[in-house]
Amino acid sequence: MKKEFKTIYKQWPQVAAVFVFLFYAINRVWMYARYSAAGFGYDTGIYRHIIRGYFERLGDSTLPSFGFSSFSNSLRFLGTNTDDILFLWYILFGMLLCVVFYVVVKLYTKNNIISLIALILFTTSIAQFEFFWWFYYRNLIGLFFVLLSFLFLYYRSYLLVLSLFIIGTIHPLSLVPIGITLLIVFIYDKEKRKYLFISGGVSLLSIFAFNFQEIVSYISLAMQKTLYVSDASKQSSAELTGQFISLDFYIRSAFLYIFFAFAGLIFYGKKYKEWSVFLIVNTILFALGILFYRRFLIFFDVAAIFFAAIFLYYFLQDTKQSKLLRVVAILFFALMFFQSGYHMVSKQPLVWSHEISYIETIDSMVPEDAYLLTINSHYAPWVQGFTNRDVIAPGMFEYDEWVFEEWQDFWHGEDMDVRFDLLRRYDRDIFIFLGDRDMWYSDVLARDSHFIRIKDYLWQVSL
Amino acid sequence: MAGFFVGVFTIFLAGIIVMLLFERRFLRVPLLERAILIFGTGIMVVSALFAIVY
Repeated sequence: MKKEFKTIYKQWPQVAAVFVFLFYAINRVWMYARYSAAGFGYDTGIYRHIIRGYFERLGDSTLPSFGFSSFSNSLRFLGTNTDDILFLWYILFGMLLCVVFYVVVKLYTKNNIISLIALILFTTSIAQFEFFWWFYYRNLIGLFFVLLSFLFLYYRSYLLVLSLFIIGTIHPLSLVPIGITLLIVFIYDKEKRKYLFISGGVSLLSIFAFNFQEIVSYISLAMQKTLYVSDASKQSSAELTGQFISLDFYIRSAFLYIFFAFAGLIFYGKKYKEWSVFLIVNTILFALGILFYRRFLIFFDVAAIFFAAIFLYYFLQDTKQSKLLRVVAILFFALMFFQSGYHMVSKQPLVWSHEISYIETIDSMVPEDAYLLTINSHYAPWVQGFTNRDVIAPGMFEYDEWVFEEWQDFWHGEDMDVRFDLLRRYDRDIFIFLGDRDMWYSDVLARDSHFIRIKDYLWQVSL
Repeated sequence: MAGFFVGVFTIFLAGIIVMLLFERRFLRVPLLERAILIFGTGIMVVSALFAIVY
C-alpha cells in the first residue's frame, strides 16, 4: 500500500492533470448540458444547415466548394446523423484539443510540471472557453490540426503534408499563422529545410488543387474589400474582424498570464524556437488587424499559454524556498479556476431552448414552398439551421431582396401598405417568425388583419 | 448514436493502418500521444479520401 502511494505521489503531475481535465470536460459540456442546442453560439444553425445541405446534395458540382463538407460528409457517410456531427463530434474535438495541447507541451518541454501548468492555463482560459462556445467548428478543427502539425514537425514526419492539407481545405485561415511559422523555420533551420520544402510544397499544391475555389474566394475578398480591416466600411468591418472577442475583453480575461507569456518568450524563447516564431507571428497578425484578425487571437492564446507555463515553472523553481511565493502561486491558480468557473456558470445563451424547440416544429406548420421570414438577424442562423424552409432575414442569405432602408420601413414604418408592397415582391406565401426578442413586433402585426397569428411565435401573411 | 461510434471506430482503424504502413515509430510513443496521433491521422485520411472521391 505504501509503495503504491509512493508511486502515485511520484506521478502527482499526471494525477493532477486528470483532475484538471475533468474540470475542462465539465467546462466544455456545461452549456450544452444546460441549454441543449441553444447552448452554443451564433454559428450553430449555420453549421447545421451546411452539414445537412451538403450531404443532401452530395456529388452536385454546382455547389460552391467548401472543404469542411469533406469532413462532415464522410461522417454522415459512416452513418452519423447531423446532430451528432454538430454536437457530439464538436464536443469530442473540444476534448481532443485539450489533450493534444497537453501532449505537444509535454513533448517539446519534456517536463510533466510544465505541461500540467499549461493544461491548467488552457483549461481556465476564458478566451478558449469563448472560442468553443461561439461554435467556430472549422476553426476548432483547424486549431487541432495546427497542434498536430507541431507534433509532426517535432518528429519530422511527412504526415505534416496531410495535416497542412486538411487545415488548408477545412479552414484556410488557420493555415496562415502555421504556414508563416513553417516558412520562417524553413529559412533559419538548415536541418529542417529539405523536410519543410517537400512537406510545404506538396501540401500547398494539394490545397490549391482541391480547394481552389475557396482559396480564390478568400483572396478576392481581400482584394474587393481591403486586406486591413481598419480601411473597410463600418458596416462590413465587424464581419471582417472575424467576429470573435475583442482585444479589450481578451486582455481583461487573460492579463494574468499574458505578462508571463512575454517574460517566457524573452527568457526561454531561444530554447523553443518554433513556438517563439508562432507566438510572434500571431502577435503581428493580430496587431496589423488584417482580415479576420480576431481569429488569430486563439492561436496567440495557445502560444502565450505555452510560454507562460514555461516561465511560471522556472520562476517557481527559482523561488522554491519562499513560502510567500508558494502561497501566491496557489492563489494564482485558484483564481484562474474561480474566474473560469464563474464565467461558465454566469454565461447566458443567445437564444433559449424553448425557442429552438419551437423553431424545430415550424416545418410541420409551414408549407414546403412558403418562405419563412425573421425580422431579426439574431435568430436567422437558428431559423435556417433548424427548419427546412427558405429563410428571409435582414442582410442574410440568398432570399433577402430588401435593402436596409426597406427593412427599416418594414420594422418601424407607420404605413401598412409599404409593408404589403415589400411582401408582394415575393411570389410565394410568407410566414413570419418572432422570437422572444421580437415580441414588440407582434403589436405591429396585430394591427392588421392581413397578419394572422398561427401559434405563439408564428404569423401568416395573407395578402 | 451508433453512427457516432462507427465513425470513431473507422477513424481509429484508418489511423492505425496508416501508422502501420508509413509511421511505425508512432506506435511506440506514450499511450496518450499515440492515441492522438492515430486519431488525428485517421480523421485526415478519412476526410482526404472523401474529398478525393467526391
